[in-house]
Amino acid sequence: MRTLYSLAAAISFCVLLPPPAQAAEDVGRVHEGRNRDRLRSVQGRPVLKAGRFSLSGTYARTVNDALVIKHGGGLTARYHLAEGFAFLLNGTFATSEQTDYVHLVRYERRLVLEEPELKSHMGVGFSYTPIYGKFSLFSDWILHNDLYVEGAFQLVDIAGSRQPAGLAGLGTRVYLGQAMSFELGLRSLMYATEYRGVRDIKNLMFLNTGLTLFMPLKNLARRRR
Amino acid sequence: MLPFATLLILAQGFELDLGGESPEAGERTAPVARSLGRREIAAMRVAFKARRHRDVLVLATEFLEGKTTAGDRSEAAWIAVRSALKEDLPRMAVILASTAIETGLGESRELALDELAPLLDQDATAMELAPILANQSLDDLPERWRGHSAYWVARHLLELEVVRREKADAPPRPGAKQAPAPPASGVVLDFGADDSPQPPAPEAAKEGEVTPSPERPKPRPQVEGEPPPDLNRARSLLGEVDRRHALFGRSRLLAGMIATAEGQDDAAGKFFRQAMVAGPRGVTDLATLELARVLYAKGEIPAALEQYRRVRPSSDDWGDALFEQAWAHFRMGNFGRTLGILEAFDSPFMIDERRDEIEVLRALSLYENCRYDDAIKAVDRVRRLRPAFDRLSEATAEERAAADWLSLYRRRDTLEDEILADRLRLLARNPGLRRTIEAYQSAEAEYARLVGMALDARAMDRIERIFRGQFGPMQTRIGHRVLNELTAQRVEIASLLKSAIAIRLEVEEQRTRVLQQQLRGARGGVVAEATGDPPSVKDDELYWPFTGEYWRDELDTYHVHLGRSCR
Repeated sequence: MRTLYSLAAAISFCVLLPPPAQAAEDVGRVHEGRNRDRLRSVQGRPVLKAGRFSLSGTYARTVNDALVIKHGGGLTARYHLAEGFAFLLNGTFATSEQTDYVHLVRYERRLVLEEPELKSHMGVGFSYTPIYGKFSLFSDWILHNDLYVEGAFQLVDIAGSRQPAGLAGLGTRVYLGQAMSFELGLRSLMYATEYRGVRDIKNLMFLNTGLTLFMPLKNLARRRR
Repeated sequence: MLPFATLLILAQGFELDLGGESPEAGERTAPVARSLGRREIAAMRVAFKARRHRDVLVLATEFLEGKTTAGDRSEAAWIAVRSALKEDLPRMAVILASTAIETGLGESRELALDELAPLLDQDATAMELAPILANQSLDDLPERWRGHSAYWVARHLLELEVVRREKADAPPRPGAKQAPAPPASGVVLDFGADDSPQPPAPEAAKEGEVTPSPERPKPRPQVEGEPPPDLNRARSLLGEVDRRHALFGRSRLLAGMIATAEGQDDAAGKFFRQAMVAGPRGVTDLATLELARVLYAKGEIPAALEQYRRVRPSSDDWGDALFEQAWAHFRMGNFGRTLGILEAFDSPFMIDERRDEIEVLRALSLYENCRYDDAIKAVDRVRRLRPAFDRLSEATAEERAAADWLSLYRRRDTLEDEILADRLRLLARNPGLRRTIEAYQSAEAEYARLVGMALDARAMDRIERIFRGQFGPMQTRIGHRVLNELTAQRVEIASLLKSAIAIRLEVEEQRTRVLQQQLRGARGGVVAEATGDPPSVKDDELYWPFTGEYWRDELDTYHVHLGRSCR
């Protein structure tokens, strides 16, 4: 499992990098010539999001808690108002699991285990997509991707009591056709806690990965043209 | 497992000459025809039941050349057709079936006709059966044959019409007293681009006119003394191809081509749209391209552009669609897009799609944009075609047999003559010619397999004569077609060279005017000046700056920001 996590982290690192011009068979080197300084490509977006809904099913796992790992599944529904902007509605259910490192803090173990756990969170927010890119994969496919940031107001369920929280995220989508994309991102969930008289602000960092389905399944905007 | 003799022939990179008469034909003694009858037919049946198919074939060749009744010959051919199919000798089966179908007799006819159906599923064998089926009534054929037969016969009739028109339009050969003999019959109608009408052909530009005007394809005049192939019959035959039939899409495409050939653009457009829906993909792409050409010829350029863009990049027709898009943008005055598309042809992905006209179109676009220095450079690149013109003039003036032209084509990758090799490689992009030569080569391969079967010498003599009779004319046709195509290239280059000179003169004239204006201290007219604004990008578009690398998915989206325009 750890290998899987490491792999996921490595992939996320690679994908989140600014999209480079990949040297592959899809991309031919040029020789000196004419007009190259004035040449540019104006390409239709392969996936048009404006006016469409999307539903993402994601697996989420915390990456910044060495003792208790929270992981679970979630859904995010978005309505894309424009190509770069969307409203979102999300919800995630999580379970907790101790790591092997718990025995290293045996004196505080009771404290760790007895602290009320996050069961779920849900809320509304927005998503903004300022950067797009593409890369060549295995010399056969050219895949488009983009980078989005998101912010949301959340309600977290901690041992049955609900309280407000904020969510900020950064992620990338790799488009697998007009109807689907692979999604990978980091979400930071921040909320205030009070345990045994100590007030604190918790920041749970989730690594999210999943698939997004766009509805309708075909681009809309080209039909309107 | 292939017999050793076949392997030996294949390993030697065989090029069995099936053309014309065998060199030893005259020296051999004429075959002694013996009388054949029911006894031999019975022997064939026994051999067939015992699965001694080679014996059946040997006996069948005797029937083809021996003294017998039409009924017995037909019956023998039908039995042998089945044996040829069992031995996986489809071309032999076609030869035998042709004999049998023509007589229309034989007890085994129904059975063999039924087994022949796979031959109509393969283009090479179906094309060879078509001239025979053309004389048959559809009602005499089994139900499952009718759709195929209707399609292939209609296609054969259109081929004859194309050949007739080619004959009327054949370009003259340099140094030759007469034009080369055009193919007699059966030239393969290209389901690529070669034989189909080409509305965006830049004839106007080739003649040196700066702004070409659209020309609608016109029905050509009929050659005197020859009845035209019955295109009405072809049309009605295509009506027999059912909507659920596998060839329905192709039949609609063919119907569109017939309508185009007769100058009926609206009907052609309707047929091409039906073909686009019916598919399969290759047909859809070609139908889309043909529809775009019809729209272009009608002067509906934006609609034509929309169709050109629908041709998939993975299609064989994409290169043509892209180049014709460049012309469409030129017609609309989008010189930046025209130059951008032409730039894509310089990319490593488009090496096989090189076209001689590119530099002429580039020069025209630059000239229209008052970029005179760049236009002159483009013109100079057109003039680099001069050695190719000279070499083609020499080569096409040489007296060679048709077989030699075919042989030259097949040796194009090993020729020391680089210019000729290059022109022959350009020829190899022609899908129609490529397919015809592949069909001929597969006949050669089948003949090699027959040689490898080590039949007795007399049987082999007969088989050789039969194959030569069938494929010799085909070899001649292909050889003539290679020569015709090279001659057409030469004519085209001559036209481009003339255009280059005309553009150069025009540019120099404009430059002189600019200088005269400057001397007078005046401005306006032909002076280029900066316009500045880069192309705007809509919300549903992506902008990719060019960073020194071509991307395959961007080839049809390039845009040269000229930054200048004529006042």
